[in-house]
Amino acid sequence: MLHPSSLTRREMLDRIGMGLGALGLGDLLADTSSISLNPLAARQPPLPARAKRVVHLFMNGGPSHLDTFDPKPSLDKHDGKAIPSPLKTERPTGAGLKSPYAFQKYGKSGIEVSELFAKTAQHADDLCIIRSMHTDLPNHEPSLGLLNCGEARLNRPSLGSWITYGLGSMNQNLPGYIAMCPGGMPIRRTKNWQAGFLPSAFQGAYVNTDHESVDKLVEFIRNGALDSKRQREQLDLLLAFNQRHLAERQKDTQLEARIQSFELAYRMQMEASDAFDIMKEPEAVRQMYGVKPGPEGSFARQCLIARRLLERGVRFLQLWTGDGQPWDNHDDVLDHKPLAAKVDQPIAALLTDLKQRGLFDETLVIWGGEFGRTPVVELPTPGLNAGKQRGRDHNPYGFTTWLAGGGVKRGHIHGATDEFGFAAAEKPVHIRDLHATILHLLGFDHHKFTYRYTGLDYRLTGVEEGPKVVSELLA
Amino acid sequence: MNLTRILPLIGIASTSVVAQEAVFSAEQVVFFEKNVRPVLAEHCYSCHGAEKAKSGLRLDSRESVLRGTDAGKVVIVGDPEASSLIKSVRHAPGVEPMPTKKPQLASAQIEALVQWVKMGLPWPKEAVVTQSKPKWQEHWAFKPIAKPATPTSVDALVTEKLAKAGLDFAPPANAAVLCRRLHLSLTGLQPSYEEVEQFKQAAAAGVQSAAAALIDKLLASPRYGERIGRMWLDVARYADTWGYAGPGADNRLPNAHTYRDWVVKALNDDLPYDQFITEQLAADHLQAPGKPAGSLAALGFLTVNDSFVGDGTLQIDDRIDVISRGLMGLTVSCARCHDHKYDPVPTADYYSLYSVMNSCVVPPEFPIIGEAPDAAAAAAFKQKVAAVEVKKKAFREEVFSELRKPDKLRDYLLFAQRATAMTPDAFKATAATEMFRESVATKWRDFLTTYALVPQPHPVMLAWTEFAKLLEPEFAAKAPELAQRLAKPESGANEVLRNELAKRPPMKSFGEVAALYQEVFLACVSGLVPENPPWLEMRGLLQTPTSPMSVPADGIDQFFNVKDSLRMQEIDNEIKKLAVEDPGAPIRAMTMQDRPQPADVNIFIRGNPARQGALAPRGFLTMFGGQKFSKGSGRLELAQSITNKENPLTARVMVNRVWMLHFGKPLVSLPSDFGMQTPKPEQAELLDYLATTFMQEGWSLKKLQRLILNSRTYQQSCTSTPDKDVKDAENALLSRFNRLRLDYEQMRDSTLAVCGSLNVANAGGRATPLAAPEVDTRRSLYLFIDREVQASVPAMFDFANPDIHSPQRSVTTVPQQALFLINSPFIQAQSGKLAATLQASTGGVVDARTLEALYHRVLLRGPKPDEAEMALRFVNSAPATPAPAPQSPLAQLAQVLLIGNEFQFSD
Repeated sequence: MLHPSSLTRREMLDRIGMGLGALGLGDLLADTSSISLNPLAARQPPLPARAKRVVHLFMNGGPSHLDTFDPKPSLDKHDGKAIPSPLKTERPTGAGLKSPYAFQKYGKSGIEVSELFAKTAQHADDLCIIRSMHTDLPNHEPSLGLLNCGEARLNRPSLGSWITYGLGSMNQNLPGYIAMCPGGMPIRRTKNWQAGFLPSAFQGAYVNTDHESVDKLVEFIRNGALDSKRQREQLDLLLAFNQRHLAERQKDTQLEARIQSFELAYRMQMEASDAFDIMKEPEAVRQMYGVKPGPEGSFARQCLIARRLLERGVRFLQLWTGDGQPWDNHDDVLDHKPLAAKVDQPIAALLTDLKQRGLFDETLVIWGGEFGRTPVVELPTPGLNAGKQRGRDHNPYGFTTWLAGGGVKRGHIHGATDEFGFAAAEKPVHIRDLHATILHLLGFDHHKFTYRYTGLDYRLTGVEEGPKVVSELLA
Repeated sequence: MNLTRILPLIGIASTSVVAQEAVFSAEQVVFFEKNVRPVLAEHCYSCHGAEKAKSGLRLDSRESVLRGTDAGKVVIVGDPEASSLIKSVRHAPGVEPMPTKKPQLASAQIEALVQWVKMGLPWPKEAVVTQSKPKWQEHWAFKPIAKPATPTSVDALVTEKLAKAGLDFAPPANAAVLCRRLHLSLTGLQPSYEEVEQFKQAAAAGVQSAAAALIDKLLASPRYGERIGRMWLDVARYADTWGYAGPGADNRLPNAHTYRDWVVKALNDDLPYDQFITEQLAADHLQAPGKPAGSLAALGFLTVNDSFVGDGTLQIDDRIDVISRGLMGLTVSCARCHDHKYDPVPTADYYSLYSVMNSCVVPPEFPIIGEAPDAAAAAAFKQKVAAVEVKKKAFREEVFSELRKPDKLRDYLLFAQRATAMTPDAFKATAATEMFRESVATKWRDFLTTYALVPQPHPVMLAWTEFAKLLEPEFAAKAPELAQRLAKPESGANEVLRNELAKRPPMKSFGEVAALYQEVFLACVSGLVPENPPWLEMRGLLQTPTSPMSVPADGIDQFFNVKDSLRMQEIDNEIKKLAVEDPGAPIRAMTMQDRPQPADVNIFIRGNPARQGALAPRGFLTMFGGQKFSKGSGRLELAQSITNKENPLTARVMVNRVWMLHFGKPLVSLPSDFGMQTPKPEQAELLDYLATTFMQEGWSLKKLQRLILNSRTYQQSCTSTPDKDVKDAENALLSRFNRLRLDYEQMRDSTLAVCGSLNVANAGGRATPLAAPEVDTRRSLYLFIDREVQASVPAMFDFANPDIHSPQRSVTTVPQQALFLINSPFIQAQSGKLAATLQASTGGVVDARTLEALYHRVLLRGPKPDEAEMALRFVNSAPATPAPAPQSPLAQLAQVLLIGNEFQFSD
């Protein structure tokens, strides 16, 4: 509801760049003085938060839960045999397909994890594994939309945009929300990290981590013409002229904010150059992550960059496996092996590193894909996967996502899929429930965290009443 | 539609509720309060009250009880036995038992509800009014536009408010400031130093007449349409791609630019705004048969939308949104699932507009509205496309002939026979494993179940049916006898088959039967058999639409498997590439056309297409009388309803947008939401004066802008006073001008102009890809806008998100903008170019003259002594760098001026 006092505040927010409709944030921003001249200024959430920052390890394409974090002994017995299931699959599927990967118990919790994630599994006692995720549709584009933006097809702000909108960032010299993906972009491209109707200041900054030099990683981070001394002289002259211009006029926050932004940018050059430069890490740390040059090492490099960004206060990071949809292994589940080989060690190292630096408790780590894969074999579709019959089709009915760190249970398994892993059977968790839970961990009531647009109060979790915080995940 | 016709309708609508009110005795009301309301409150409100209204049902007012659920009534007044509400609480069969989450109501409670229904739902009168919401008719934006009682002006209306607050206008802006402001406002480009000087001279003789002349000149400039046109493209969510269009598909829109160019030209020509709207909604309805294409390109307004991953429902929703918010400032899309929460827009209205859009289609091929200027290129283009079409045809024939390949046809027939006994899943799976095209196999299967495996098979399929009854082990033993029997004329089998059976050696397996059928079928479609009745009978069967053999080569796409579709996609991409890039491609309008028959829809209950409510015939919003449309899709009538002078929104919304363009701030705070939630603007009288005058003056946007820009209100300076800072902190009273930061296009285009890069003559036509060599010679308006990969730099500078209708640009200040300005190759190239030009005449020396020239170019004034001193010191302190220097000292200085606040803001 609009009332006169908030109108004035909105006008004020407009002026400093929060854009229209920031009012939806409501009492969140009661302390207007905390909003400095930068939309990314750090803000306190309305409720106690368990996590301050988020890193989303995005296994795009849909990794198989049955070959990673959800062992199904029944499937061994039904290998090559029909599995009674009324569930429709996207493509033709046939008999049961057992996992070619060995599972083993890890840690005190005894959580079973497959050999693909043997290194990540060393952290089993710190993982909160949701084995009962489900989503709405069996196709990549809408599922990416739902997972990233809470909406399958419409253009809505992404999770990271909502969070940076609500919390700003803790470091003004770096972007608050960064999406890293080696080699190019995932499908759905920039729509995955769009700000939608939020001001574009809250959209994710894309970084292609196949690049290894800082100036290629971060757009416009380096001045190709001037050394830093000369650039400082140039910016000093700019500052002098701008101040002269300001002095001839009355106080104007817009002018001041813009003057300030050059100082921020100047510092950002060093801070970002530093943050993205993993060569500043000791050799042992780089080895822990498995850093190596070339595309084979991209995911490891981006995990190490992630840690450097998280410790510098970046609010939201999304780390994609690669361009397109790498985990989409319709033909052969053995194709998971080289993918896991790229990501397992870096993920394990990131968890270790976050713990060692005391960041783990306040960082929410999310691992997963847009859906899982079927327990039944995908049948060949002429021309697409002819000859091979060892792959799995898309599975929106049941899959695994795990959380770790800020505010979630440790060494915990939540929910279960059915006997064969086809559908979430116990304590199902929908993507929107996951969103509600993530927002809760960051200090937001997902019902009240809204943004007024086209006359409606929009929220990440949609208009329906269904989505709930999954309290059993909370530590 | 006119006001006298609307008002009575409004009257009826508002009294209809009153008519349902009944008078109850005090006893009845007491009965309700004592026995009914507590039951409703305790057991029902948690799902059917103010917080939640499951299935659309609320039980907290008599009116809403009478209304019932989204699906219909729950109470028949006076008849409890027929009321589903009573059935529900009684847990009667066939209705959902209520309450759902609690035990059944006590029998006394149920009885009370029964009595209550019998009595006619007594309810105390004061409670009938569910909310103290103001009636929508009283909402400022829904009231008729108020014509000023006496002649007035922008300044008179502003002065009146200022005077009441004890304030006055700011001093007039000085001539240089005003000149630059007008240029940026009207053309998006800053003036040259010479233009400023000329204006200063003219202003010395009389600033008002000088300004008026400049305004006229700028309104007549082709650059004007480019500036205001870009504002319109924000409204129209313009982009040069369609969003995700399927795996591997080239999603570029080869002809989006025809819409963009139409907008620019229409605005330059000052096409009256009512016509501007009408053509964008219904240009096809205005075309005279046999006449040139005219304004067809205007329809791009409807068709440059996002694909929404191919979801037609969402595409229509987007069109409804851009029409309702864009043209009328009404958030009609809010009524997709529920009646609008605040505004008088019931769900039925949304679906009336949906029916309009659903009665239209985007044609498979857009009409040509112009040929490529180069005739040779046009001819070459046709050849190139023909060559790709040959490929396409060849590929289709390849698939076509595969279905007629000996053995393949037999295998399909055999598989189809087996498939008749399979579950759908098993069928899918087996078809995949055995490499059959599922669509073809399905068709053969259905063919067999229709013509063969029935009690009275088709004569052609009789033999098939009979042989199929033989089990495989006994087949060889029994087949000869069966063949003999079928070969006789009295069997009723088709003669071709009878003859074949008679002359062939005995068949040993069903496979041979299939082979026989393959042989005769292929002979039959070969065209080499006699035209006698038996063959004609068979051909007739094979040509029924259900037969796979009836599908012609150019219709073969229905049998494509994924691989074929991808191959076809590649070929289509070749054509798309030609359409987008080839200089000889013809120019097409992105039109929309009516379906042969209108296709009204039923309301989708809660927005779900699977749950159908009442029919929603094509028509306009009920708040404006709810006129039904009858001419085709009704788009022309829709346009006429929107542009009707009695429509209180259309003119108000547009004058507000124009005001925002020039003042940086709208009069109505939410430019695309004039609904109940948006408070009456401080300057409501001014808004109405502008809207009235706008319509009186023939909807001329140029006249409207003359009115605004010639005002003292527009021409005042940004100077504030302590008094104004308190009494008019938000400048709602317009006590001064708002200092404006250049938007993305003003900034980039002015930079290019100042640095001598901009080629304004290269206007219109295809969008220039961002990587093209000429990109930095073109205005931002003409650069390629990709929805799926949104360019980072425009977004960084608050460019409109092209996915959806954009009411207003945000103005954010983030360090990434500064990084771009200090480090980007763009700014270095432009400042370098400017410096090189200036130094060319001085032989590389930087002296006071160079400095002055630089200041003239960028800041439209000479340097002050202290500035000159600082600037020269900076230039001279540059460290010597080996030639060629990456950026000359003068270029470094030019960059400072280009990115500084003086250039980046307009006072």
